[in-house]
Amino acid sequence: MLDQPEDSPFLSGTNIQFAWDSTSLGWAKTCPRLYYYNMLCGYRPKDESVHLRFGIEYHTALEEYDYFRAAGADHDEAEHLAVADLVERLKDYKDPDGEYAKPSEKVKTKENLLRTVIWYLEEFKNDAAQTYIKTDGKPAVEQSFRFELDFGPQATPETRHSTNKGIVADQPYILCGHLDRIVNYNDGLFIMDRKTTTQTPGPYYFKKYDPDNQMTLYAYAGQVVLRSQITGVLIDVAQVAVNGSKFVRGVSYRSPDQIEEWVRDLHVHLRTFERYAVEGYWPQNDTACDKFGGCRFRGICSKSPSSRQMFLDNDFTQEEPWNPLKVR
Amino acid sequence: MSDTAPEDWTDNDIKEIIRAQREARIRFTSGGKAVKEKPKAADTSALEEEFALPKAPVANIRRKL
Repeated sequence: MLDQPEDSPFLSGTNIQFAWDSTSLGWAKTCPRLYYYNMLCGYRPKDESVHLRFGIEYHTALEEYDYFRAAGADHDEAEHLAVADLVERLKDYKDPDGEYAKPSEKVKTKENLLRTVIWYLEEFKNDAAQTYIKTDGKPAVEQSFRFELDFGPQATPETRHSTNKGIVADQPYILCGHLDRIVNYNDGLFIMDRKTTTQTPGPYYFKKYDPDNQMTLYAYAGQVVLRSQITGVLIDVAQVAVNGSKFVRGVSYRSPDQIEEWVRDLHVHLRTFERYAVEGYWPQNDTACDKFGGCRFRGICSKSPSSRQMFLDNDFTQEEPWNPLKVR
Repeated sequence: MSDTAPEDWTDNDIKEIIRAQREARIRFTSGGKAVKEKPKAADTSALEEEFALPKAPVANIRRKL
């Protein structure tokens, strides 16, 4: 186990990642090169910040509302407190530039953020999904999780030792992350996740969550955290448009054997990722470049390897790489 | 909220933001028509028409459970 909550997710002196969250795992599963650029180099598109800030503030406001409700506040009171805090945080929020912003960025304004939060709270004012209260009496909101798997990286002599059971890793793999909210819904326990999109979230939208790395990991994590069977994931999607915000709730079920299969597959995936790290090479998966509206690094991978660095320097900023162990 | 919004928000400012957004939502969900009476907050019929919610695959759910 780690001594410091914000320790590196990598084995000391290596690029072998032992602590994984859904974000880093999703990158690595989608494309090793995408993982390399994001996780190891810390490249971020220069135009990404408005989406990130919008999402963070949206989640924080709803999380606060859930806390206030669970603490006994009524709807109006909890809404008022959550909105007051949101307004305070938005003092330094910069609306996207109307002339140069992409259509998906233009709607991510302060006003639309406030609107989306308040309309969501009104929409689900009398929600059938009720926050699960844990055995310690606390509401299961923005529930952080971190737990060990029963195996770990085996690549370096420093991190393993021999026993009568064979080679055993000293540092097991760790799964970690944050669950937005755990709720009782239709006689089952569900992980609730909230998404914002500028697209229309019709039935096709929800198909992408079944199967889905993040949602299955969350169902698995909820099961470990609560020591109870999780029925599935509730996905509340907010469509943020120019003139209004709309909300759709989707349900994605996970059976115990589906989760078991996901964990079994994870063993194989992590071994593969470990090999990339040992070899120091993360190959392109060129069948994934057009997924999710096109990979953010497509413009880089499409260039000659000799000229990629120039384009990376021009179109991306290099920030502190993503750390699944960092407390947010 | 505009760029000229006050730096220090009072409780009344917050109430006004919420009130204005609640009214805007009602106008939006009623298709822009004037609404004299506030509808129930949980009334999502206007949205359900536009976004056909995915039907729960009952047989599959039972099988999975």
